[in-house]
Amino acid sequence: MTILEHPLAEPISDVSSELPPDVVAEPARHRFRLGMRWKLLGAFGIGFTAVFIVVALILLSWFTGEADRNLRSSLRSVAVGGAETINADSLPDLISDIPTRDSIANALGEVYPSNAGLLSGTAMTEETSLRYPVDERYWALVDSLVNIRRTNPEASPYLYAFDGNGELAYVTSWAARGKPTADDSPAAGVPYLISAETVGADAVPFMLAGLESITEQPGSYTDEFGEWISVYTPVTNSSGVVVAGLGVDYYYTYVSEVRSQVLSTLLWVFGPSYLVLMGIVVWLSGWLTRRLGRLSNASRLVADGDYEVDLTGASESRFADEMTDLADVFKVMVAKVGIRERTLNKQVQVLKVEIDEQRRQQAVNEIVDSDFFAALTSKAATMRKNVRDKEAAEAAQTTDAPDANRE
Amino acid sequence: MTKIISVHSFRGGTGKSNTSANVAAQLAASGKRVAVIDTDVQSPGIHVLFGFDENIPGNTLNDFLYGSCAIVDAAHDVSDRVSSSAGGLAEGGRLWLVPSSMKAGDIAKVLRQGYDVELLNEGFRSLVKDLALDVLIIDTHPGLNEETLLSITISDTLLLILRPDKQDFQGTAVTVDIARRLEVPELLLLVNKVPSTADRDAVAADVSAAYSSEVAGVLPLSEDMVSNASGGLFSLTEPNHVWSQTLASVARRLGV
Repeated sequence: MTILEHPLAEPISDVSSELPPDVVAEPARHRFRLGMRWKLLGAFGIGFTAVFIVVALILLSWFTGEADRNLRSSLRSVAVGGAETINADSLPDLISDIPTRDSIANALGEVYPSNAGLLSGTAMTEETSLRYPVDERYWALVDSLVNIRRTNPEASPYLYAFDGNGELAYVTSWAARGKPTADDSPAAGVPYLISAETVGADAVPFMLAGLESITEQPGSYTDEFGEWISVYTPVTNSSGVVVAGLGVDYYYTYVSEVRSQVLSTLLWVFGPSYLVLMGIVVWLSGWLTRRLGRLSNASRLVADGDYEVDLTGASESRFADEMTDLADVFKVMVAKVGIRERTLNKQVQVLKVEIDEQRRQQAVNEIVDSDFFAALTSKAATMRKNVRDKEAAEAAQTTDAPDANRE
Repeated sequence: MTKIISVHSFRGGTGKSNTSANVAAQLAASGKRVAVIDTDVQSPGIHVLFGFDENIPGNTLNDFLYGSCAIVDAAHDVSDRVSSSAGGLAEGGRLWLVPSSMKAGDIAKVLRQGYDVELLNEGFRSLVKDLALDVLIIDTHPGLNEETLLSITISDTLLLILRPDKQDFQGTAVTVDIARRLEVPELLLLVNKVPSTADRDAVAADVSAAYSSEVAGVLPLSEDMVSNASGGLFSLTEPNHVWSQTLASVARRLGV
């Protein structure tokens, strides 16, 4: 059998070598490739993080601000309320009667007896024995401060006034009695008539202002015991004359604790939320990219000439969406392209010059071997001879009588 | 020297009559004296392309075959079909048609009695001489019967038309072999109704290789051509169509 095939009979799908240079045959040819899933994860991850940070900052700012406001409000209440409980009538006399220890240069043993600590109800130490005067007026003031402290355990109240030399000085603090909750707690706090400058120069302007009206030291400050805020308020005698100032320190660490607590709470709330959301994104991106992946794989198969590819998984969805539309359109496109290629292939088949040599020879022999054909060839020979003879005769006639022909 | 061209195909429906008529028209348009004779007396049809209906006025080939008239009296001058086209008729160009009768009685008579093929051969010669033809085109009956083989035998050129399908390829192979046995001086192939998607040059090369014969042309399967049906001489009415241009080149090749 002779078969000559037309060039179109080559497989139509085998056209990779004819692709334009800018057409990528395989995805692997992209040097840097980041899957859609990872892109979605990255985008949502950055988005969620930004949102969480903003929300956390707002909440943190609000909670700490609120805590700060509450703390300062409470501090002012304690100071104002505490100042009213102090009987400061004896304070000017106390200051004028009992000089500072430094000013009398260790000469007044009876003022600062060796058992001063014992008298003050605290454990006896070398230091405490030298710090507090033995005077009921002094200890009455200390007790007033201790009462304020008992009412507000976070508050550290102390009294200050002008000493005999006209300098602002600390008179006493609640801690001169030691910590009320510990029996063996040594006396502490500021010693009697210690210059305000030596303890906290930064606070002096506010302390002075506090002798006139309630004054808050702005911001907070930190020392070896922690972070503090302070407020100063005038203390009057029974005549209404300002004779001293009451300073109250508050542990500002509370606000830091609030901040830590808010942060901790946010972490507990946001952490799992973040994980849950990212989990949803992982699932959602997987769901989306899985269908895209199916379409992508199907496209690759179609590119290789497989038009029977199953697209059910890519188009089926409980709720139709753009992906479903794409899959449906793709399905129609694949079907149409398949039909077109099959049609083309059919046409290519038609163009095969296919000759069955055996049948050809058989058919020719049947004709040639017939009596009809033998007669025909004989007749043909005769006919050709006749034609040649007639033509020759006509030619001769023409040569002999050219004039007659012309007529 | 008159050139006798037989246009033949192994099977019917290959576009034989259409090709014969259009080639004849093209040759006439180029200035040749051409006659086309419809020897497919059993199923004639070429007359339609020249504007005749089944009631052909005057004589037909059947009248000549049964002795009613001279063949030249059955030749209808259809030169006006060419001259009225856009291209016109070159000087000296003439075109005649010798149609076969469409009358049922005439066809039945041919089928029943047959006819003298020798007489037909004489008719060809007379026609050539009487009309001083440059080209005589014989539109044959498809297949390999006695009349057809005789037509082939007396031809200078046999134009074999085939469609690109399995049966035509096979039947054409047999016809080619028979034509060679009959010592036809020139054998040309014309592939018709080739799908427009195919590379026609490649088809020509393949067919030529398969039959060891020259391919005069490859005519595309044209919807325009099909819709024209037998409405006229397409190569004249649509000269710029690819089908027409291919056919014109075939005519030029045949007119050499």
